[in-house]
Amino acid sequence: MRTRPLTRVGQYVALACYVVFLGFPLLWLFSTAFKSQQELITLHPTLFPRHWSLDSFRTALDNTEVWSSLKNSLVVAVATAIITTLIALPAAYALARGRSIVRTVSIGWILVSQVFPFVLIVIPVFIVLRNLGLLNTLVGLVLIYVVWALPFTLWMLQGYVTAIPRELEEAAATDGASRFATLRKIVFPLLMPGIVATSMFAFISAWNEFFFALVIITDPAKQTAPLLLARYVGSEGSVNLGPLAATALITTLPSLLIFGIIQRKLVAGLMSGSVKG
Amino acid sequence: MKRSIAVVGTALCAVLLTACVSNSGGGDTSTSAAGSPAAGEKINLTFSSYAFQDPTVAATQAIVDSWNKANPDIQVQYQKVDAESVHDKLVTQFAGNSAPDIIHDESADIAGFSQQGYLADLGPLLPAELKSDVPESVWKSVTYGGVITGVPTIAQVYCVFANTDLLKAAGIEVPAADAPWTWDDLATNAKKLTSGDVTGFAWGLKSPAAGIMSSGLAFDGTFFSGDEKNPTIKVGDNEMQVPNRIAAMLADGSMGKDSISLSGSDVLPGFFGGKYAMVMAGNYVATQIDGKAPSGFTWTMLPLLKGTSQHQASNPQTLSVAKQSKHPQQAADFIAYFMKAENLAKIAEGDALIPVTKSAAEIVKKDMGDKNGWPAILASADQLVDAPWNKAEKFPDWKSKIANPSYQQFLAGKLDAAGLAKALGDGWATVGG
Repeated sequence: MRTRPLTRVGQYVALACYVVFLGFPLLWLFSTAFKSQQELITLHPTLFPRHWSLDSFRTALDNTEVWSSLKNSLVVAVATAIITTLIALPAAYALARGRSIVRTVSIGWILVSQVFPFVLIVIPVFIVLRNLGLLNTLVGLVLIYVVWALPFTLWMLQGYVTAIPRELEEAAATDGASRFATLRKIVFPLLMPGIVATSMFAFISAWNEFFFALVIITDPAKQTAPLLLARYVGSEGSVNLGPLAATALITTLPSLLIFGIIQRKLVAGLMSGSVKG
Repeated sequence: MKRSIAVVGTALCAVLLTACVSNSGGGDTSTSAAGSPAAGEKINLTFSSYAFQDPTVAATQAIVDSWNKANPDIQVQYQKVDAESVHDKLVTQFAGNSAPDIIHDESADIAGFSQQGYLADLGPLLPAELKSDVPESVWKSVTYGGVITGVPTIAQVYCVFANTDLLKAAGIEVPAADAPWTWDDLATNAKKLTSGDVTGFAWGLKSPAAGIMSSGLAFDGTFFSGDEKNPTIKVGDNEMQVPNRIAAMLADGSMGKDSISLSGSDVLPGFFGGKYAMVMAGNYVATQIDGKAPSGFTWTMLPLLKGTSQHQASNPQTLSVAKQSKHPQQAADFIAYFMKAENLAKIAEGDALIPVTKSAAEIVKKDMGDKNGWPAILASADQLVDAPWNKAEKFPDWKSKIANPSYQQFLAGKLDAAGLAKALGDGWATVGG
């Protein structure tokens, strides 16, 4: 069906407004990071700096903790994404394809587990980690993030598995493929967008997480980027705005970069036409 | 097969349980007996601090470094925490028996921890000269049930910052320390300074309760009385003096209406830009003015405003020792070192706050000279009094859930004076006070 030109224009305008809405905070962050101290405290702030300045970046990078916190965040987020996906993948397949009562109970439990606010569980989790000797360690942090992200990634991934027609697997079996070969050659390639999406979710959850990191990490050398960023905010609303924006911009870049690299895997319509009518 | 899986599973559980039990307690286990290390044994202390301003962070690091150099057997690790998360982090750490040995906090926040028994009694651990160096009224604000659980370090007052060029142009003289402005003088001069694009006065009152209640003590607005842990509330004429005066200035246009939705230091761009001739803020803002004001901007801090007195609430920053610490005496020794006049002076100058020890105040006085009204602000340590709400268990809850929103509604004209008094009083009962 042909879209009328006027409708098409309306669609683009709506899309542009949505992009501006989503992109404005990032634009403001970018602009603030490049403003001089004088411009940051001006009575009439402008959208773009009048005079571009790198002062805030110099101040931010003078703090050697920027690099160590970036490295820690990267290690924790990548480890969380990989471990979560490795656990969720077979579990999601079993959940999607299984027909026993265990499937219903498991899915119910996954949904119920999402209703507990983390404030409720932070003290028990803290005590468990202390007893395991994992307080103030990145391993402890990864363990929590994996546990925290797993129910939702499992839920997401089993949705992707369900969307793969059973007929494809049955056809492969009919052609003599073993269960493992079917999974490796048919299911996993088709599941790739889902794997990428769920691992991105796990990565971003771990990259942005603040509260668990706050209570578990005490050693400055092991702190993650959100902990460093929080320290640019003082009591009674006082903010060290320039260095905060510059550091935030620096810490945003790795996740943008990773997302940029793997987002092409998030292709839709891969399975269209794989099964007739 | 099933049997061997069960055996392996049981063995794994046993190993995990053993590991859990053997690790319980956490912390430094390097001492042979509680608090008394064997000869030559190395002690590691942890010190969490929410120092925020760059000079204060640097001064704190310098103090830790010099201590570590002088005490190779007692090493302190400086752990930085952001100011807004101190409480949440401590709650978890105390519950998990993993609190830092030395804790930087503030007196209003340690009240709850003291009542819950998480902080050590510092009375017997501190040197006598430190005790006599701090005013008795300030010690009171860190004494809970007769026990000192925090050493006060630096304190904040709410003071008026004035653009001296605008004051001069309006023919208004900067008041001397011994002849401070009254709240009436403030209202009169704010009106005089209001003309054209200039508004005489502004106060960032996004979270108004702390500033208004502290300032209300100058009119004997005590709010609470009776049992210090669970007091009763009274909101009468004295307690309504400050809010009524602010409302009057808002009504006659001598106070910037937009400022009441801003946080404490958000009024600074307006102050620098000449939009506001005077702003009220915590005196820590002086550091930000020093660092951020445009060149040629002249300013001063005025002596504390007077009601019937110049009293304000004493809510000093504190250093405490966790009761869970295995080395309370060594931790207290570090606190005593931190409180040495030259150390505390550096901290106070970094944060532009008032050192509570007389010896550190002398150094700051010498360093700052007559600049920007510092002598009057340093002298205001004597005006700090232990606020009756400081130790009330439900006060933090009441402040955030009842007092802040009620004051905001009053300042926005949605509640009248009687309505505000009723909301504050009824709200105390609501939070279980």
